Amino acid sequence: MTGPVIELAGLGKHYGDRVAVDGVTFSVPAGRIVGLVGPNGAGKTTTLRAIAGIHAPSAGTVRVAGHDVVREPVQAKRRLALVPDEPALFSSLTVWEHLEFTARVYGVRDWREPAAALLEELELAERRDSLADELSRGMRQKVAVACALLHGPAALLFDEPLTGLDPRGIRTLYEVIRRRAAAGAAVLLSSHLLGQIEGLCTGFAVMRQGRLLFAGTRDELRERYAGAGGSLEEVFFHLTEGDAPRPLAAAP
Amino acid sequence: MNPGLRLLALRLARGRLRLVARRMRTVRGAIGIGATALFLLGFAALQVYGASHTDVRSGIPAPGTMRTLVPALVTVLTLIAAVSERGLYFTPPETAFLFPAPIGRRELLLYNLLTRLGVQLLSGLWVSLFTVRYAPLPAAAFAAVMLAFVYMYVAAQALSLGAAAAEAYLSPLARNLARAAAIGVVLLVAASAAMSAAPGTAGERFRSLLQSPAVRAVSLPARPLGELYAAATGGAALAWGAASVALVLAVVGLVLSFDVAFTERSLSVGQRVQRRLSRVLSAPAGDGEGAVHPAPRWRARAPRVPLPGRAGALAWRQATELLRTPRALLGPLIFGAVWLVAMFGGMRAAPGEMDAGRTSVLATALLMPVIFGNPIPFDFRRDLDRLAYLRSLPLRPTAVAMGQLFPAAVFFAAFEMLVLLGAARLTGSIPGAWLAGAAVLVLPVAWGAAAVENLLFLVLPYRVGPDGRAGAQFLGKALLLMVLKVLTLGVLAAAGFAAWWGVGMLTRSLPAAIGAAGVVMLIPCIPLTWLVGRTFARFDLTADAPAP
Repeated sequence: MTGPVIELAGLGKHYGDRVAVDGVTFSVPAGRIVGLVGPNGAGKTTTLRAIAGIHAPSAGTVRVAGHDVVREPVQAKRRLALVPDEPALFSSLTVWEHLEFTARVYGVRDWREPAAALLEELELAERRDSLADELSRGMRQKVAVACALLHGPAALLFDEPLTGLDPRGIRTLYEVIRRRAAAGAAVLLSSHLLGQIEGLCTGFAVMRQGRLLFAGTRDELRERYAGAGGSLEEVFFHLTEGDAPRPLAAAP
Repeated sequence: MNPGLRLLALRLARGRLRLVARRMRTVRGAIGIGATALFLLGFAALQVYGASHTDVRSGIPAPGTMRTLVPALVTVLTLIAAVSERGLYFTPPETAFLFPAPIGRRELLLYNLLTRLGVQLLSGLWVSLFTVRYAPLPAAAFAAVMLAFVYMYVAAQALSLGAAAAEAYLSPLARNLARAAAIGVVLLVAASAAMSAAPGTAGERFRSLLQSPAVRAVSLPARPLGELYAAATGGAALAWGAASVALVLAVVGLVLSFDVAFTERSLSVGQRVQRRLSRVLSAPAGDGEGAVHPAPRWRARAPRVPLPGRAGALAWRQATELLRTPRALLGPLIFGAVWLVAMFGGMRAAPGEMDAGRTSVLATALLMPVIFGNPIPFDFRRDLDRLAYLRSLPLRPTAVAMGQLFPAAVFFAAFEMLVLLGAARLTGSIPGAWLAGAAVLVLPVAWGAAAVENLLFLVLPYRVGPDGRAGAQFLGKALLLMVLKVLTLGVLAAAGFAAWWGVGMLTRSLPAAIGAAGVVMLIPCIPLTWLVGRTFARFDLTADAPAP
């Protein structure tokens, strides 16, 4: 697929009078890794859940691999995977049974070999028969990632994926994400710490108070806000701690 | 249905058995599960014996009463289930895996219905043990109870989906109007039913309340279940059984035909349930981003308690959290109301008759902590995930135990006094002196009960899951707890009675007798608290805490 895999056009989400996401427009093409960054309460998780078809948008549209997530939810969801911030696993199922169940849900045939490869890749092979409640938080996070990757999604959504991972786990996850992007997946991952993901992402979407402040490549971000300081982290603080946000929109 | 959902349902059922088998391998698990099995078998045997022997069967209420009582109960419980937001509840793993998955809305609903069916049927089985003996045909009553539990679940889901549809399709103004109309209808029904209640004993008034047109109208949809329960002939049972099955299927059809996106509402319901259970039962949970929390205008704050060893700070923390969790008090209030109606509903002593009142004081003061347990778990039970923090505090273990037990004991004592005052009002036969005596004695009783409760919890800890489900050995632990409480409170009561009798004989003064009994009953609470502290200090955080 050559066009954008994830497309948001004027996405809005409000709860009563409270606006969680306000007119967000950006897209993620195949093979790109975009960091959705912003301080706590910026609307990152709401945006990811709207893309995953969990939250119905109050305004605008969301398309995944060409499918509108509201009108064609099953087709859109077949092409995406969401790794939530808290790895919630079924405590009475083993690691392998999680993969088996995921394969059935997504209709993945001949899943055993790829599943075993995923466990190797995520350093979980020795724990394949462990129950979920016997795993550490980092391991549970890796199981959630393995399940998300099993059906080869075109769009990969990660919500704060680094929480709870040790440095080795973070490096492994980075490699996994890079490999999937190189294979053509569009990756969107949220974080409230730009500095932590700046080496991984090729593009950024910066949010604050539900509004998109910037969407573009890493170089464009540096170029536009060069005056703010050297590191992207300083740019982030400049953007998210300034006065009222000025929304901008561009394709990363 | 999606093959993955079928697999998940089967694997989860197998997984639960696997968890039970794994727990059986430990001494604590084996004791808990063994005691549970004994408890269930013993109780079931008693009920079956009672139901099959007409000489020991209790008097069967009039069929007319059951015909209205069953639908009214089912309707009230359905409304409570819908209002308490459990109708559309999915567990966190289900929301994490199933909501972003390519699964249709109906498939997801059907999965939810089928996977919860087992719990509903088990609950029905349990309740039927208590209730079939009051029906003319036990088999019909059994079917009615089982179908009622399934009906309550699907009807609550239908109501929740209706609420989700209202949120999705109605403007805020229309929603507020609809909400006000619903509240108005409930108030109208309650007022109309209360006005039509005939004067007489509480039992008579309750019966006339059930027969009121308002209650009968509101509970009309569940009427087939009441008729099935009260069926006196095989033919009637078959006819009303078919009607009840049709009713359940109709509601299932309604649920599946609702075209409304429910995942968002389910997610917020799940988060709320998680937060509530976390607050009430265990560790604090983080708020999900995007959750809407209106800031409260006023926050309750408990007064500082001058307990020795700086235990007051812990007591203050527990009490303040309890006051800020009003839902935690809802359960005890319901328990208390049920207890009052069950124990004193039809009781009214003749003028000058005091025996009934005295009996009820003793029964309430001693039996309530045994039967109910402490329904306010603001003690070690809620702090299972905070034990490491508690251990890190510069306090002696006994001081920690004192701080943890104090609020639970005080609140339970206050709750008991509330029930006693209600009993005094209902029966009109409890002398003021007895109430004053009870006010002195309920605190040591509540403290002793809380100490035993926490002691057993620290020896055999359990965890109530985010879906409200406890481990398989939970009932066995409850049985052990009940036995331990009977023993402990028996010793306390005996010591108190001896002091009462002795000092009363010597001084001929009731206040002195009550005071002596109170002091004597408080004394054993000191070593009990020390024991709780020791057990807390010896709790192995890595091995003893059950996995979340």
